[in-house]
Amino acid sequence: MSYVPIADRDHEQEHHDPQSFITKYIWSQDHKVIAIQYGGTAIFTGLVAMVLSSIFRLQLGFPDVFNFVDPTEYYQLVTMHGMIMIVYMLTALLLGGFGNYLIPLQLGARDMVFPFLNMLSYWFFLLSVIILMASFFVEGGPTGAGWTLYPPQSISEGTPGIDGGITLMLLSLAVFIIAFTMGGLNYVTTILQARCKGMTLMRMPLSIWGIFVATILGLLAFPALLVAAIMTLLDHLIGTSFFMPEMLSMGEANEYNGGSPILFQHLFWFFGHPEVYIVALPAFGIVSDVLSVHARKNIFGYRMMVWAIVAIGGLSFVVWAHHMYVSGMNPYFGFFFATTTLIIAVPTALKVYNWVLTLWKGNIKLTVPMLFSIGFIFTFTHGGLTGLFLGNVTVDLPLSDTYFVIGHFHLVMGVSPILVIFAALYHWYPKLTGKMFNERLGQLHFWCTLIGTYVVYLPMHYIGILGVPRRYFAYGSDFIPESAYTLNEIITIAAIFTAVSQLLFFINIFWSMKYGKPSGGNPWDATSLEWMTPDTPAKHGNWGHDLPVVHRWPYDYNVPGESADFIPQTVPPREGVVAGRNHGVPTD
Amino acid sequence: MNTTLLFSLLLAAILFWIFLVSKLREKPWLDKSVAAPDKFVTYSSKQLGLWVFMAVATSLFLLFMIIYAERSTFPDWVRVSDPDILWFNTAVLILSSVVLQKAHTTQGNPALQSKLLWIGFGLTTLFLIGQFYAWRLLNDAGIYLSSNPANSFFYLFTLLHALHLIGGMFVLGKTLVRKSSQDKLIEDAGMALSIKLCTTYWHFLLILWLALFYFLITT
Repeated sequence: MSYVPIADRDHEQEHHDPQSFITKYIWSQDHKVIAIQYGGTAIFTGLVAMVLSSIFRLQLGFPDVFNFVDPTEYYQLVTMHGMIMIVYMLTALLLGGFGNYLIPLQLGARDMVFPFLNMLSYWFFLLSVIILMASFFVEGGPTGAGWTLYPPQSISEGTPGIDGGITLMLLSLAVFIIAFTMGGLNYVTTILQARCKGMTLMRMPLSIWGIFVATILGLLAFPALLVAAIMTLLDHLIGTSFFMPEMLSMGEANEYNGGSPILFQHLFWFFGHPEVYIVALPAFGIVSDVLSVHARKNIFGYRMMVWAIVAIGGLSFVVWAHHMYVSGMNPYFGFFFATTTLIIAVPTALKVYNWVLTLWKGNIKLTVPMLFSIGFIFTFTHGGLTGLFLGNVTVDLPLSDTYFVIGHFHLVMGVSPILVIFAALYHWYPKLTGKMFNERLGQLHFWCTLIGTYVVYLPMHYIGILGVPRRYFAYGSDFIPESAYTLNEIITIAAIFTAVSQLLFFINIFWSMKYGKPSGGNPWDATSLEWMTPDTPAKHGNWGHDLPVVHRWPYDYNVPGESADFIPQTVPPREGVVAGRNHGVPTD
Repeated sequence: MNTTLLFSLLLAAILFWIFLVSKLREKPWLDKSVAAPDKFVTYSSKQLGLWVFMAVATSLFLLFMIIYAERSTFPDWVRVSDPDILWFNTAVLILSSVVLQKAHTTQGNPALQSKLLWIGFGLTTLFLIGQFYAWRLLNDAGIYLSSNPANSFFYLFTLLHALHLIGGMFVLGKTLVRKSSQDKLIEDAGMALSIKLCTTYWHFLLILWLALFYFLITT
């Protein structure tokens, strides 16, 4: 029995439009509704984490003025901020939100191949968020072990949240991983199976390539976190000794014997480093598309970009121990991981060059999505370069656990993906709502965010080099120089300013939803399939009666010899017009 | 030995990379035709979904086994003799896999196929009961989950494997219910696929169990 591709048996499938409010908006199996549910929940948790960071920044900047945070709460705030931002906000928003929205639309499919599983994925995600948030309300509060949850610290007496917080955190992570696996199965299968006619793998927009490879990374890396979470949970609740060593805790010998905390670190970072790319690769893909559309020019080096995404994905599994240089590892081991870390910088740098070269001689339109994308190139280059410092063992040892590290990873995997997320939200907002956002307000939001975050994270590199350690509640009087205090105050003011300025974004999207100008189906004159839907916002089933047929790649902007400035993917080739070297488009 | 392993891994990675890039050589800016679909679409979505899921489960168990191997080198590791019933259980699981394979290949005879599927379901249940009995034996001998890391791993591995099997049994059970409610003479393509996927999954869980069992009895 041979299998007939989905694109060829479209009319055999029945598409029952959901009728009631509940099946349409709550228990919905439509990928677009699920994307909005995922995105909304992720943005909400992100806001919670942002408020947490503002509170602990007040403590750090003005330790003697504000005293509503005690050391226990400080650790809880820092831990929850980190975990929420990385797992529940960035991963969920980029893969659950944009993955769900873009995959069927950009590939010309009617929906995900397993819509029910997709719905289940969201509700498991919501459950994990509820479990996580519940830990704020249990006795002892959420865990304060640091977002890495290293044992023995995380499950030893005296650590904040030992009563219930840590259990809820580990449980929530396990549920999240189940949710992610259900979603990930869908993304991979849909990308491989449900592309419309003519959409070969090498004609997919780079957003899809980024989401695709990131999902594979997630499917293979999240099990490591699950293993770590299950074993830590057993150590904590039942008293096994997977990770817990025999040690003195609060002056008494504990009940454990001979476990290895280093094993946990290996497991955690075997998940943790690919996680950086689970967040970064979709962002790389999306920013490539946004840059190309708003520079009215094809993406420079499409094949290189695809190969770089795949190469980064593969290499991301062999660099994890660069997070553990200070754990006392074999020098050869450290040498190996320093080498792989420097190697992974090669495809990454290649991508940065290609973004810049895409802008070169382009017809750049400084729209709001474009501003955010260009901002991303700056913050990502900046954060990436400091990553090269930290990838070397000898440089990492003195800088480890200082604010230099905080500055580095916030620029490279905090601010950079966030800027891309804003670029993407502004870019696809017209498709999502059918309305245009307010351009001025968007520009103001961009400048406040970019300048604000730079004022927050640039000084952190300096105070890091001065040796100011991270994870300290307060520094006392003789410990760090006066200038570091001043910088800390400036950082706090900038952080609060940046946090408050995000209101501009929310005002803009809610105001424009009601009062914005109608955008039409394709306001950016873009070529990819999501702009070709018969309705805006796209209806259930996406494509009306017939699935689209693709004739070309999604980057035909300003093709030499063509009068139009862009040619949609669905347009067949004209007789007599050949692409290639004759028209100035390089063929190799 | 480690250097040899490292270099062979590196070589494998390079070869894989060359293979991958050779598959992704299309120059999309030149070709404007409606290209033929890629190879992947000759599988059904459900089949591909199952393979992806098995890759995830492999990753999960592989990581557990690596941690197991590493943890077993620590001085507090006490080697335990595993209950003999595990040999019996293993035989039962092999048998269930064989029976399901037979059911999968018996397409022409729906009545026999049903019977074989029920036998496969029953054998799997017997395996689970046997695993539970092994737990009881250990428990009676005073060996609990937290007694020693070797035991902790034993309980953890058997539990996780059983959970995966129970998930499979849920799907197999659904298939059986559907099969018993439909006309025995009608050949159903969806049914054939369900049986095929169950068989694949059973083989996968058998191989997984054999690997886990080997690990458990040798360390």
